[in-house]
Amino acid sequence: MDTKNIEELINLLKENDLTELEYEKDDEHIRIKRANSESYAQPVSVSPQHSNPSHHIMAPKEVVTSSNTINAPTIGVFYTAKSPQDPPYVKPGDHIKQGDVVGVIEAMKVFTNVVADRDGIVEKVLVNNEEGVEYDQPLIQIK
Amino acid sequence: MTSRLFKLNNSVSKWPFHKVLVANRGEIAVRIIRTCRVLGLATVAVYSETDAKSLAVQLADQAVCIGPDNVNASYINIAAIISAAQLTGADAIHPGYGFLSESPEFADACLENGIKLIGPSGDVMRLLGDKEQARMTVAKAGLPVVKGSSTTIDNLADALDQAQEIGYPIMVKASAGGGGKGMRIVNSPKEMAAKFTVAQDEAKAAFGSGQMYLEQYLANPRHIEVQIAADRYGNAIALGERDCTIQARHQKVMEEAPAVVVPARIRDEMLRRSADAVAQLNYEGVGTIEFLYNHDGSYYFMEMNTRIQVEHPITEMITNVDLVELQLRLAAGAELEPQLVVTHGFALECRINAMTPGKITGLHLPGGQGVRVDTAIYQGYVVPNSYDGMIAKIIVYGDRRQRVLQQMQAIIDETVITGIQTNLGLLAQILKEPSFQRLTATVNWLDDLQKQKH
Amino acid sequence: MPMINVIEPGLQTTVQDLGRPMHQINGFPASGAMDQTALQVANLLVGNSSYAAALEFSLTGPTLRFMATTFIALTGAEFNAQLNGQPVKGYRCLQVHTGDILKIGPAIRGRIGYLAVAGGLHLPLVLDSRSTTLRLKLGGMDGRALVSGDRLPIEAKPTLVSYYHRHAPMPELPDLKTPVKIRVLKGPQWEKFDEKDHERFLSGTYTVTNQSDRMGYRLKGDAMQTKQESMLSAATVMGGLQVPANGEPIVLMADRQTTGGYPLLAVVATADLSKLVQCRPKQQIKFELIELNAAQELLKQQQQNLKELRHRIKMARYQMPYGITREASQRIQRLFKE
Repeated sequence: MDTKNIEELINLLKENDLTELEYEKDDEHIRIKRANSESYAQPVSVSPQHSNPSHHIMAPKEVVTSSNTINAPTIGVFYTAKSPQDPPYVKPGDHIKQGDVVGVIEAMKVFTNVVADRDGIVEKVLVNNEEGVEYDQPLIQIK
Repeated sequence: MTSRLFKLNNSVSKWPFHKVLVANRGEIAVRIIRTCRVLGLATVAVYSETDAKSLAVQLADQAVCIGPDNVNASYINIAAIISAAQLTGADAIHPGYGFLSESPEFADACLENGIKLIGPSGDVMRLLGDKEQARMTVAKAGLPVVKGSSTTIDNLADALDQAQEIGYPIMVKASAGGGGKGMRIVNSPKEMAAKFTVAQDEAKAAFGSGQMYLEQYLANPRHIEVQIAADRYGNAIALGERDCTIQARHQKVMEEAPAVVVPARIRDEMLRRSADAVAQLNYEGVGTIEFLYNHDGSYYFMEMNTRIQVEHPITEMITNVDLVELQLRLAAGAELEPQLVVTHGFALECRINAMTPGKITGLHLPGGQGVRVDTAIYQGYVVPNSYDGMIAKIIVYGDRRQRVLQQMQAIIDETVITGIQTNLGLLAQILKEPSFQRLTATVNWLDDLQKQKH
Repeated sequence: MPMINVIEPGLQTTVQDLGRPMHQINGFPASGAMDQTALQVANLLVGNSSYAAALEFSLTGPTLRFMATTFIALTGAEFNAQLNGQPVKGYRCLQVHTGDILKIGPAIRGRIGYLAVAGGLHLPLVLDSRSTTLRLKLGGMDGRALVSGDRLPIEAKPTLVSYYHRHAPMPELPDLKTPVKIRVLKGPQWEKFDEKDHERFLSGTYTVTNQSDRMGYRLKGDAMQTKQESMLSAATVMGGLQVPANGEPIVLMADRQTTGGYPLLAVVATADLSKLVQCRPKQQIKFELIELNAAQELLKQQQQNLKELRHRIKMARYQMPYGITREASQRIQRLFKE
């Protein structure tokens, strides 16, 4: 197949507002998929019929070998930075002191800072940004 | 069968919710999860750190730790519970009893966040949660209420005037709070001066307000309550009544259904009037209307609980209805077929309380024809000291009260829970007391025995 | 019928209850418990009626094996009793199981002990009582003291309300180092003795001799000097102080003759009988004279105490812990005892 055919397929996709197109002939096999450019900032419509608008995935609970962790003070969505534009509060290797803010958790629009209860060096951030955490779940491993 | 109550039975797959978060603990959490499992609904248990090893947590499909031991940070922490629902994708919440089950704020929060609360609306909860408002509302809806003062009172002269109208004996109560504070029984106008002043002073000290109200005092009533259910289309039914007279310090110890002390004619009237009243209330779900019943056949509305109650199993036995399933169907929008629910036989429930915390080292629970045990304990379970001490409910069902009492005696005699102190010995004695057997006990009876006023 | 097996009988162990006082008129000694208060408390602690029969033992108690589950209480003198080798206290209710062995042993303080068992001892009534009158070989266990191998019929009692509240304070027992004060009333023949004798009696110190048994306690001390006239025999009472020819008083006890020809100088106030009865040989006694209404007040108080104990135990049915009130669960519980 040459690029002209591929362009044709792409136009076919666009004109018919398709998301995905698969073409197979003999031993040629092409699959064209539209990049999802509308993945952010969907307007949230609150109505009793819909399920929860902001369905964040719960962070899988890692098997933590060390007891030297900073844990979630509340259940909610864990954010590693103050806002999507800001850099993360901590990364591995950082020196932190007792009282430093190392993350923030949001529950029902209320934001709670995750505060380090001791000094140390960040070894690992155990939870990804925007993942759901339960109460006392280990968030940051330090040494 | 629960389904016979409805006009049409939508299959669960057509329901608007499919994953129920159980915002409670202990035996009721297990109870709710059990029915959800039968119906094919996914379940989420939320728990405080203390309850990590509880039965409900293991039984549910998913479990989320929402806070520490303290209920304010866990079981009654609205943000934590809503958050847990959002994170797990739960689209319905069953609040059980106690905790947030009658919280209008919680009901509102569920609504705002697109989660279906299994229960009535926040507005209805607000209406029925305020004692004065509740009384006025149900009075308008046709239920007899205890006579009370038409306004709040802050001076002795008004108190005497209103008491004159209502009649003695009368209770002076604090408007701003309860729990026995600011409360006095006044037997005659002569006693009013002294007692009103004392009560008012106490109320000011305890609640910061000297606003009082008066209520007719019923000396020795029995506690009779009616189980109701209502759908969102204005239909309401009554599912029999319960007699919960055996109480210690206002906590129920044993309950029975039906209430055999109430003559059939009066019982039918109570049930009918209760259903009619609820139909006017914009209510959805199950609820209980509590009455004080006098041996002369008169009865008065006391309060309405907008949730499922601890003692619901005895109603389930005599009506053959799964009340949790009823709640779920009503929440899913099912329509009730208006009907008179017929009851069969007699059921008695004993609440088993842990009097001390500790590890249950030996457990033998009873069984047999008509025996049901609702519990979340297991051998090796550590009963915490942070929460309500009720650890099990033993229910016996049979044809007649006499046979059920005998069976319950044998059952209580057989049950073993070692490692902690329980009230099993107390229950064994109550079952043998003539006042209990002959139904002459009143709501103060057990308290009097325990205070040695025999 | 379940039994108590007597392994060691103790010194003089007999079956006693409150006696047969109504048959004194027919010439039968009243017999019954020497320390009636201690017996009544023992019966109360195990939930018996006051009329239930128990074991009375003097100076050394028996060793018994129980062949049923029931409840017991040990009162009267103080013992180092052991149940299955574990020390147990008196004046409290104890649960015993089939096969349990109670070893009572010698009295440490006091003299007469009682063992009550729930349901009482099921021996036949003789003249309205199960009490033993040894010298008449009447009543109780074939009219005699217990011997090894005896079997006493009882009933199985697996439950008892208020179990954990069934205890009573141990009364003050006489101690050989301190003279004991015993209050007395003037006896019917008080005036037959002169003033000097009254003084001797009330200021003297008397000692319980070895000649003391269920018929009477002979005392040694200042002898009464008044020459005695002959007297018609008259009725006797428990605690009556008889003065024989040698002038040294004898206190008449439970198995006394119903009539006596010796003058009764004084009568021990009923309220002090228990104290006197618990005096061992060599115990020193001093007597104090009181008026009838004072003696009656003391007796009323004693009866009131008993009444209050009964009431407290009854009311404790509804106090935690709630007694041993369930039967099958006790047996099932044993399965968990590993």
